[in-house]
Order: sequence, then C-alpha cells, then structure tokens
Amino acid sequence: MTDALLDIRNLQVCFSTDNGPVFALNGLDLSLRPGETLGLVGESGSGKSVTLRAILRLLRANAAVTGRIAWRGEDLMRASKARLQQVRGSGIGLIFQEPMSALNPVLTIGQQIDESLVAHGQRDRGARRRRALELLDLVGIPAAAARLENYPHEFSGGMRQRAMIAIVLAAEPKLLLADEPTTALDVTIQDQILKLLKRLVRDLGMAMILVTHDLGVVAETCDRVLVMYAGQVVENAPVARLFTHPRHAYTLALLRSVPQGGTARAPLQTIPGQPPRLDRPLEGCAFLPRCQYQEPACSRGRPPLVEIGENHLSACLAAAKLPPWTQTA
Amino acid sequence: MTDPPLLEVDHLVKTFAQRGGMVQRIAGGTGLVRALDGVSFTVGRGETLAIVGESGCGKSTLARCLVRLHEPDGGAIRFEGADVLRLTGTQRRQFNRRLQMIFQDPYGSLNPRMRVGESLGEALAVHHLAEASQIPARVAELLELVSLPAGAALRYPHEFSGGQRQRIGIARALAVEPLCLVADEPVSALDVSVQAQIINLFLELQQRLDLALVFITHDLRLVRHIAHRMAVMYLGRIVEAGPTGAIFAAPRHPYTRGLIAAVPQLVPGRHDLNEAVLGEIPSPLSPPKGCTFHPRCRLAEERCRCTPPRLDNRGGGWPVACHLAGTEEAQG
Repeated sequence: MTDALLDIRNLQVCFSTDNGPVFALNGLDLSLRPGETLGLVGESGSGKSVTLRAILRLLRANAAVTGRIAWRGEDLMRASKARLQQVRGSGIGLIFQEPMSALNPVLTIGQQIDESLVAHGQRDRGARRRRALELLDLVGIPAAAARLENYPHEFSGGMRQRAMIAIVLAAEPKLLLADEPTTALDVTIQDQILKLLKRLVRDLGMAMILVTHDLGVVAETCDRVLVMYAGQVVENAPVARLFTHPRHAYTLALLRSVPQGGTARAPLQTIPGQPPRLDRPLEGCAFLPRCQYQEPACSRGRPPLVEIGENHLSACLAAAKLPPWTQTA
Repeated sequence: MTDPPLLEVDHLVKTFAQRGGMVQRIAGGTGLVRALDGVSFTVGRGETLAIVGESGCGKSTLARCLVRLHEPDGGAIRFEGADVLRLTGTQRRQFNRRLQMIFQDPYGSLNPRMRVGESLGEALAVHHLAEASQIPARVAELLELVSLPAGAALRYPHEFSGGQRQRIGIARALAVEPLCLVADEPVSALDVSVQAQIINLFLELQQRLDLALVFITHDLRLVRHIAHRMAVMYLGRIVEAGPTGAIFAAPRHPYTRGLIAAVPQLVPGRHDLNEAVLGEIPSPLSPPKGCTFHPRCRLAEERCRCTPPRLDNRGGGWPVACHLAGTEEAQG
C-alpha cells in the first residue's frame, strides 16, 4: 500500500447538468506502483476519461468530486492550485487522443517544448535547445533540428502525437496519463506509437495509465487492466490473467464481441440492450439487465469488488460459474 | 458460361487538383493527386469484398466514385454489364437505386427535421416503389428488417443512439431494393458491442436479400470476419487482392503483412514479437518513384526504387504488386 505511486479510494464524480445529475464515476479504487502500466478499458460513457481528468483535477466546475487521490502519499483533493500546477506536468503528464487540440497552433514545436522546459526550471537557453533536440530524437522524430521550427499543422497525425509526447516528457513526469492516444491513428502508426510508449515507460522508469476502448491495445501494452462499466471498476487483473480467465460477465461479453479469426462470417456475440442511464444512482449490479449469468442476489445491492484469485478482483457474483473464455486465434 | 459479375470496376482513375499549395507548386510538385490510380476489381451477387487501407489510400474516393458522388477521370464501372458512367435519365436513376451507399456517420445523411418514417417514405416515393397508401406498411417492414421497433417511424434521428442510427441508415438504403451496398466505415464510430450487432445485421441481410457488399474499412479484424475477398490499397492502387482467409494465412505483399501484424490481438505480450512498419504514408502529391511502398519496406531493393511493380499473380494464387512476391526474399 505505502509504495503506491498513485492510490485512489472511492472516487466519485457527479456532473450537475440542466437535465439533472449525471453519476459519471461511482466509487473507483485504483492503485498504481512505480513503473507499472495500467489499462483502463471500457465503452463510451464508462468513466475512463473522467477518471484521468479527475486525477489531474481538470474537471469543470459542474463536477462534484469526492474520494481520495493520493499522489506519492499526498492527497491531491486537498492540494492548493499552485501545488496542483506543479504536479501537472512535472509529476503527472497527460497526452490526448487528438494532439491537434492540445498543441498550440501558432507556436512552433520547438517553442512549445521550450515552454515546458522553462516551466520545469531549466534556465540555460543552450541547454534547453540541446534537450529539445534530444527529446525529438527520443520520440522518433527524424531531422529534429529542422522539425523544431515546424508548426503543428506541418506534422502528420503520428508525428503530432510524437511531438505531444516530447512536450510532456520535457517536464520529466513520473506518471504518464494517455487518453486514447492512438485511436485517431492508422493501424501501422498506432503500432509505432504503442511501441514507442512502451519503450519510453521502460527506459525512463515511468508509470502509465492508458485509457482505451480497444482490448487488443490493452493486451499488448499493459501490465494490469481495470475493466470499467457505468462508472465502476468491475474487474481488475494482470493482463495475462484477464485475457485467459476473465471473471466478470461483462468482461467475458466484451471479449466475445471482438471479431476473431477462425469464425469468419458466423454471427458475432453481441451484448443485448444498452448501458444503463447514469442520471440516477444504480441499484444492484449495473450490468444486470444485459447479463446472461445473473442470479437473484445480483439485484440486491451493488456487488463488491473482491479478490477472487491472486491479484485478481471481480465485482461479479457469478464469477465462479462463468464459462471459460476460449480464443480462436 | 458464368454470368458477368454484378459490379465490375476497370482501371478506375480519379485525380484531384491541389488548390492553393503555393509552396508545393514552387517546390515543383505537379499539384495533382492521383487518388485512384488504375483500380480494378469485381464483386458478385451475394459477395462481400472488403477494401482495406489506411488514411489517404483512396478507399473513400473509390466509394464515392462507385455511387457517382465523384466523376472518375478514367476507366470504367460496369453494373449488370452496363457502363455506369454513360447512363442517363431513367437508366441512371435505376442504377442509383440498385447501388446504395452507407456512410460512417448516418447522422450526416439523415434529414434531422424529418421523422424516420418520413425519410424512409420519401425514398420509396421518389423511386415510385410504393403507393402512398402502402408506404406506412412498407416503412414498418423496413424497420423490422433492421430490428427497430415500429414506433421508431414517428421519432427524429437525434432521438436514437449511434447504433440505432446506423440501423436507420441501413433501412434507408434498403428501402429502394438495392442489389449492392457500398458501406464506407459503417461501424467505425460505434462501441465494440454495438459494432457486433451491426455486423451481424449486415451478414443476415446479405443472406436474406442476396446483397453484394463493398465494405470499406481500416479495421482488419472486421475484414477477416465479414469479407469473402479483400483488396488492400496503398496510395491509390490495389497492392494485393484475393480470398480473405488465404491472405490472412499467408499475405504476399510486405504492406499487407505489416498491416495484419499491426492489428492489436487479445494476446498479452505478442506485441513485442513483430517489427512495426517503417515511417508514414508519403504525400500523395509527390509519391515515391518505383514501388510507392518502398520507403517503408524493410525488403526494398534496387528495382523497387525504380520500377513500379504490376499487380500480377507472380506464381501464386492471387495478384500482388510486389517485385519480391514469389521469390525467396519475400518469405520474411
């Protein structure tokens, strides 16, 4: 417990909107060790991006956030604005799905890296330029010296994401938060960026939380995965475990709905129905109306996230009776 | 004595002029983008052909040429043997009805101020497919076909979820009794569980109505699942085309191999085993000489840098545009 880099307990986020409250995050627990890569996976509205923004206290004023977010033992929920500003960047860096909306269109990439280095306390102009070149090199941008003078629009999508990563790395964060960093990219570029992130995390000793809707991305990039549904963590397991022994009915349904080889043109398994509405508090298991393994007890209060194996937590009362998942590769 | 294929595309060329682009013009670029550079394929009744490739490969331009949202600059499109590009009047309207397009974002193709029933009814009326009195019954049939409740007819597009809207888009396309659907990334915007529902709908409809399907996508997992045959495009050209299962088992073009290897699998750790495809897609304004894939190819040799490879069987079971295909070097 004490060696956790980030430790989140009972995080709740509720947005007040014109149409009433939206319960976006309903009691999330998360613990991350230094150097660990954690995947947050789920479908639209499951609360994965809200979690990242809540960690950095970036949610808008209409969000009521409660719970405890401990960053290296320090409670960020009580941190001052100035302290939060320090943590954002030099402690925790954030990269987005669409770097174009995070980059400043009227500053060159070099200027934006420079800003980040200045904010990080680097005073020597020559040293900053050397560091900027090193950083572009580190993220695999060729002809770094020329590229420093380019504006974001002169970069391709993949190169923009690399530049974004370089700017974030300039502040030497201990934790990288990546929100769907490859979703907008082509598959060969996605492959390159995921390999880059994996290498950086390893070489620089960073931890990473990777938010994605793609189970394949999680399998190939992460050490541990949290499966989210309706603002809750429903399963928490090492990847090697989750992709061989899923122990939540939703995880199983999600894995089954991914098209696999070997079953060409057979109907895919679907998840009937829709995710629950989040404008009222949930009673019982959130997945219950769509679940084919439900038991009477599932409607009596929310199933707790309990340890069902080594390092493996599940909030499914039917965990023990779920059929094995077989992959047809 | 085999019937001619339902849809036959023959050396299709579509060129766009680059507007503005002062820098490129001074730098000596031609200012022309060959979005389609001699694309040929056929699709039979009841068959699914997947067109796969990354951004900028020309796959969406191809879709738009097929439904004549773009006029091609060269080549031919034949539908049931007739030269589509020369059709006029009634015949052209008839063709428009037989080949229908489904877009990635159905919201953009549905009139937001028309109830779903009105949108579907309009399609029927325009093509004189139903008497005014029969339209409500036919609309109900269409909604049932795509598994939407009959009450959907009275609601507006914004009242539906993304998956339901795509069902409406499909119902709208089916209203005019097409023989062939051209679907451009129809499920890319949907969550995976909803994707599965729409893919199942395509499979089921295809079987019931004997529809041909041109399925345009960047998602190789879907291609593998849904397509009988596939064509891989790169910078406006088909670089490999053949039976889907066979290509996945033994891809012949290095680009196809790279694409397939890059797809994230549900297998932890597999990622470290393959090498990523090098670099990025070059500017279509000044495509590389020789094989356009050579700057990204780990196997490229001298002739790849000079001579464009033709799409040819090269001693294998299906055509591939790679000098090295069929030789030892390509077995990498």
